[in-house]
Amino acid sequence: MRGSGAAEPGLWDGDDDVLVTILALLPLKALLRCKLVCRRWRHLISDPVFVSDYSRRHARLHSSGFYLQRFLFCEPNPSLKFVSCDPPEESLSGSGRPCADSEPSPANLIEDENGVRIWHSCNGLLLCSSFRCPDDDRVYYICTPPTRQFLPLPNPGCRIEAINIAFDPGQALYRLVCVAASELSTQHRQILVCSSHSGPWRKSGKPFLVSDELLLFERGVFWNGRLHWVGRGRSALRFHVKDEVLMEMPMPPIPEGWSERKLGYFGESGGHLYLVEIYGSVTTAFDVMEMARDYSGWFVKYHVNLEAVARDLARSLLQRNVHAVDAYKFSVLHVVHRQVGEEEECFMVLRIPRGFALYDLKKNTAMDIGDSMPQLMSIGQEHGLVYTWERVFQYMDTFCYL
Amino acid sequence: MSSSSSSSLPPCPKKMITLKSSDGETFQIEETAALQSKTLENMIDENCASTPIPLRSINGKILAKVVEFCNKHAEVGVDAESLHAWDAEFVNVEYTTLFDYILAANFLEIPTLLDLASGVVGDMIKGKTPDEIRKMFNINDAFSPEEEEEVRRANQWAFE
Repeated sequence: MRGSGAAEPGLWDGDDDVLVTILALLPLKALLRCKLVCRRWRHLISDPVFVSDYSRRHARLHSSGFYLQRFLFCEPNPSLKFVSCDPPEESLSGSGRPCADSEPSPANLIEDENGVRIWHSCNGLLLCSSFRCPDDDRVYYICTPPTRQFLPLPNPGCRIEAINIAFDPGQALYRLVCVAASELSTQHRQILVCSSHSGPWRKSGKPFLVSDELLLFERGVFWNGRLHWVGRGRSALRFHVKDEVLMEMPMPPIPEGWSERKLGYFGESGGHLYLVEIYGSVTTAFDVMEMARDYSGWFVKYHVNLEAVARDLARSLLQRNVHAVDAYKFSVLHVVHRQVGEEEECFMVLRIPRGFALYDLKKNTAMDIGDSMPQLMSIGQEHGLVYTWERVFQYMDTFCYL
Repeated sequence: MSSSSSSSLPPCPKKMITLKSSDGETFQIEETAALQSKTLENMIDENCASTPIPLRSINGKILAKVVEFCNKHAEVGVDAESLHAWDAEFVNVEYTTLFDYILAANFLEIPTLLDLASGVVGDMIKGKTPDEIRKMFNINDAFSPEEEEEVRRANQWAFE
């Protein structure tokens, strides 16, 4: 029988159960460090069943941050800034989360002579590719910053329009969905899929007609087990990743007098699929719409009114001799859900001339950046306007072996 | 028992079940408190709890503490703060005892106790280097420098 005195030699020899229970509760960074303790620990931590249990247990509803990607003239790599979404006090205590400076950039992980850019992200996995090279030479990679792993993807052998990742941390399984050109016609697309458990690309379903040439396939959003594609046209699509079924998704009508949809933001946050459409350039009032889980349609989740934010900004711009109308040139970058104590915050990150602004969606007020997301202040003010929601990549710590 | 004809209603008799440790000690625990253990809950549901339940992997000393834990967590009207303080005191023990709690909580499926005790051991591990962890747990199976370098390289992020 086990005594309860001093540690005895070989105390941990018998019971994997206890050890696994303890390891499963560690934050990711501490866990990965434990792989160095001994062979047995490494073996337990690398076990696929453990990995999948760990991922399920630690699956976060909230993202831990986002990357801002910006292309620079003549630079081999795009500029990439990581902004943590954790409440400031938590990120200071260093609870195992990497801070902005140590967040490895895919460009430092992946060795590609043509540079590396991000195309897509899903729950902590990033899809990257060679940057400055002809299409034919482009290599695509899947990459997990915490484990510093990257894998070149097999070549689908056809013209790629976009590759999306669908990764459910609860299942510790990722799938890749490629929208490619079809031999049938230039109007057709073919979906190809490949997953972490099955080798090369294979065709999924028949080629489909894109009546709407304006779909943003590279910005597929994974939510509810499906990838969603919207665009500037009337229609939108959703693709059930496991069942491989492609369907139409209802969209709000394009208002009369407008020839195309004006997307202001499309993305997932905190388990919700959000859509913002902003018609007109000097508009400070708009709605944040959310898709119903049963796809019956979009409903208005939040009314946003940025008039007060814009007025304050206009005043400060005038003092700096910048035209006040610039104050109305804002755009939505990201919607953040995060837990602060008992409360769930939901706010929008906006780019505005000379910087960023945060807008609390629940309280309908502006938030102080210094209090809520101080990292944004360190990102060069002058760069504020080059970021758009299409260049924001959501990120969270994920324990996934490629 | 008493044959008093008191006018007040007799308190509802508390349903007790009996647990028997590996070294033969028996413990009485109220059914409501025992329900925190999924293992015991299943036995109660299947009417297997009318006779003493033998727990061959848990000794009397540990079982007494586990019963104490379940009783405390079944108490009504305890505010979260004082329960938190009580929990902290409860796990303020040698880590070998913590392992015993973890084993018992794992066997009896008591998630609150399991998380509490594993969390404390986890906190001990969190801030330590692999070498310190080996010392702490008397692990003599260290890697060769080459192997260590390989693991380090594959998980560089964790060692920055």
